[in-house]
Amino acid sequence: MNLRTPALLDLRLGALLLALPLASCGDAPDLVVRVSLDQIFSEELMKEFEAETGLVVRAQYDIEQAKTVGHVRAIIEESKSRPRTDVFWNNEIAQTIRLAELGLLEAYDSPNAKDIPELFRDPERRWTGFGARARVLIVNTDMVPEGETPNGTLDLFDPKWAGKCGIALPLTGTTLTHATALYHVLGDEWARDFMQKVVAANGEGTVSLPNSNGQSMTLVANGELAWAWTDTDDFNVARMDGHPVRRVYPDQRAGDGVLSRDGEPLGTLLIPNTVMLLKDAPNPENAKRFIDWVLRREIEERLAFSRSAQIPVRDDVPRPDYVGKIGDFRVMQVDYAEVGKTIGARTEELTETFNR
Amino acid sequence: MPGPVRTSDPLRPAAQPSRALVLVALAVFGVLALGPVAIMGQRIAAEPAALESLGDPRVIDLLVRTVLLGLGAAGIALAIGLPFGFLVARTNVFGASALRALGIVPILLPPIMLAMTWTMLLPLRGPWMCAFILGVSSFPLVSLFAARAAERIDARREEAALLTGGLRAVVRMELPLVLRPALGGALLAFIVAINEFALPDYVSSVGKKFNVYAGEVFSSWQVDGNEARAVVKAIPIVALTLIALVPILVARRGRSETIDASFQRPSPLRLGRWRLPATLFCLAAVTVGALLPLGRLAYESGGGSRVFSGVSIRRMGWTQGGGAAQNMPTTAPPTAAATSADARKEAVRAVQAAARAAAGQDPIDPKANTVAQATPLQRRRSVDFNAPEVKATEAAKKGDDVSDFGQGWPRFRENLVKAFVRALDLSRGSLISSLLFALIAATIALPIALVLGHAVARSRLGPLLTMLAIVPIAVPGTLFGIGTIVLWNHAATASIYDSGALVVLLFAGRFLAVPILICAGAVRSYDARLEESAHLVGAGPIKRLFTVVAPGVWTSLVGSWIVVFALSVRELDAAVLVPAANDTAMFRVFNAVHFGRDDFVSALSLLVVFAILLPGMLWSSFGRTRPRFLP
Repeated sequence: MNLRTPALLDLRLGALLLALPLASCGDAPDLVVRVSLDQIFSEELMKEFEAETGLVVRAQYDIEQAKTVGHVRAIIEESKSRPRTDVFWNNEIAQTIRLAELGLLEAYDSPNAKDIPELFRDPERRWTGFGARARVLIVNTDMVPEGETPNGTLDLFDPKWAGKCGIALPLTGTTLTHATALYHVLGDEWARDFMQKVVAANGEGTVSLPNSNGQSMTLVANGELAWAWTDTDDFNVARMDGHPVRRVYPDQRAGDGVLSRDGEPLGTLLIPNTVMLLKDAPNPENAKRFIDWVLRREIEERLAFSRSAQIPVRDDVPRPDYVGKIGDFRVMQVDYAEVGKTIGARTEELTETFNR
Repeated sequence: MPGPVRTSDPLRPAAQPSRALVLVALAVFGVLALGPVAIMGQRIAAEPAALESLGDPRVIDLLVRTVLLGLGAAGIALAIGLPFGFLVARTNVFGASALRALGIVPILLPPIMLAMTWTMLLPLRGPWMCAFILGVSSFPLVSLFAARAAERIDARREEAALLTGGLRAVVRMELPLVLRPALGGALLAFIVAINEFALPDYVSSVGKKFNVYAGEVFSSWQVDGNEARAVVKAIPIVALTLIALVPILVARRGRSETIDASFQRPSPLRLGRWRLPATLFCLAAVTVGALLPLGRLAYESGGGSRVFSGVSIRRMGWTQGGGAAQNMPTTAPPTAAATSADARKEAVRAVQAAARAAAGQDPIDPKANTVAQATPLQRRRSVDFNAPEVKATEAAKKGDDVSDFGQGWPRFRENLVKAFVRALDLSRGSLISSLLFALIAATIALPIALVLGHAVARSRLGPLLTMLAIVPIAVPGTLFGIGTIVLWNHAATASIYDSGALVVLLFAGRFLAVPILICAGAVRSYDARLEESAHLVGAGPIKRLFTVVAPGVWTSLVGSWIVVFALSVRELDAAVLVPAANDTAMFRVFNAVHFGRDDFVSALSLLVVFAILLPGMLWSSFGRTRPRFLP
């Protein structure tokens, strides 16, 4: 036998092993953007930005399962060694503030954000809010007559709805932000008691806890639940797909099931998209171009007319009638900065409350 | 009666692996598979107090519940897989070969796809439903072991039993021989079940939540400064996996024997009047695990309803009152909104379709029920609703999603084709990425698996190597994904981190355990005397491995490649964290599922399933021998 053959074979194999992963290597992108606005809404915009600027963008989308853990954890882990993300387009705000608190954001005052209300801008300009969503109840019109519609948060515990209503598990996404806001607005004691009641109600099978707002929407649209909490974008998807659904802004007028503070209905939570430049971003200039692009009025308009039906935070941006204006409904008064600062601790507490 | 020849003596010098080659393979394995885990393990060393979190009664409760779920799933997998494996391998059931091939499909399907089907078909939720779906999904693990064990029973032994006591005696004699390997398969089903959290989460979305331990591990990553505890939380899962593997490894080492020249392959047992019921049982198993979920997806792709009996039953229960539901308003009289739902759906879809077609496939929809406005940013033009192409699009769109079988086969077929064309059109790039990543990962894994599999089978350190090999697949996907980021995100490895190469390395590292074990089993049953002969004529260990052993176990190498490929195509938990992995087909399926089920999602799911099964189907069609997964 020829004893040299194995060495050659080994060499060829080694070369093959080396070549295969190398073959999957490509040129580094001009810009890395992490996007938590759902891919079906954001992908086309990303492509449009590429076409307009000629930049090669690596857009990292999210999946419902990995909300929060996916992007925020990856950004935190990357920042410890070598930041790779330039821009984070977050579809909510609390995790943004969490990143700001961790010192992972770079201030950037975009010229296109001048007409955005200060409420939606970080005083230090580390993030900017735009196109918002509201927390709403999605109601199946085939199952719930107009006069029977639930009105607010506490309707979850009305025996009339036992087994037919739901709220997404408040461990990720906007439901987590919502839960954290309730702690902030109504106090720790009240919020703890409320969460325990939700857990107890779920234990009795009267309140369902879907794994996401999207699934809440699907369950109501398909008639598996009569109503559930979701966001305006999910509601709009169901509406545009022709499902028998109606939207209810919760906690608007005093009455049964409505959550109040100091005798006033609490209103519903408004959650803006936020865009931010990451600290030590590898491509800061391209990142700023992208942020300027996203904060254009036209993009807010596009988002309003899209299936995600985002509510423009600028009053004068055109929108379809069904999207409405921020003043059309009572908004929960909440300090986003405080919510963002406490969301980590609340996540731990809520995990202990709900994961049992 | 000549028995099988034991060939696994680890001390047989001629069969000893090349140390240099093993060290190289171990180094590669260490970087790809153990590196991400080890680097996360360091965090425990930095904060040993994190270990205290395991003593939390809530965490212990979750763990106990998860173990019970795993046992339930393993029990169901055993109950289906043991008889299934025996029947398709050893009896004259109708269509045994086809049933055997189909019997592998459930384990290759993402469990969430089974969940999507079964939660629609049955009004059952909670732990029982989870155990059922996980059991059905993993019964092939049992049937593969059972079938292989049944095939290795010598014909003479079986004939003796047949002559003395008929079929009953055969079953009595063979059951213990098949049961032990089948129990090994059931333990693997247990491991799969305890690592799953997306499925219990999905299945218990209505009614009482059924939380499992793997969900706790996932949630732990959300809390800042909690990294050490998040890693600690993974320890019980890894420990349970390794403990579950011990009996399998002990059993396999004890049974490491090969079939020698005197072995007589048994002929299929004739079942007589039991033939039809046995065939129906096997058919039911593959129907429940594969045909029904796939059929359901095909039905939906053709426009079939996304709401099925489970929902109907539940709604019937509500509207008829009783129990907690007695105060539920009766089914609402058809409101204006409800009665106009179909018309509205038609109108909205027509406008969307027309605007998209005329304005350049913009998925950001124009104003509903109005003509798209040309904004300064948009390059699209406004829509002329009298334009022929718009009218044609409208007409074509009107048929969407309303076909069902009630509209006849031609309409169903038309919608099915349309859904697949759309899925292919929108996801071609993702499908190609998935295939390429999986193809390269499987190819990289193969030589490493052969070297390490040979070492596991032939060296003294075999059990230790096996335990090490299992670790990357035993840790939760989130931990492995984050570990991969931490390991590779450095300036020196920037070109890998920023490219698809990282996805390939992640897939190869995470799934290397499987081909290593397959190869180890194959090598163990391969006669070491052949290596000894090669040694005597001067062949070194490397040459023996690649020119003597590899050709002898090549069907197992094919099986290994197919398994890594399939697992890579369906991977999501770890890949979702890695920048370059978000353009895979599985990623798209999950993003689309979030917005409800439609014909596109169903068609795309079927395309992913097709991609997963493709190499296996190609090999079955053109290969002369079956790929081997077990020795």
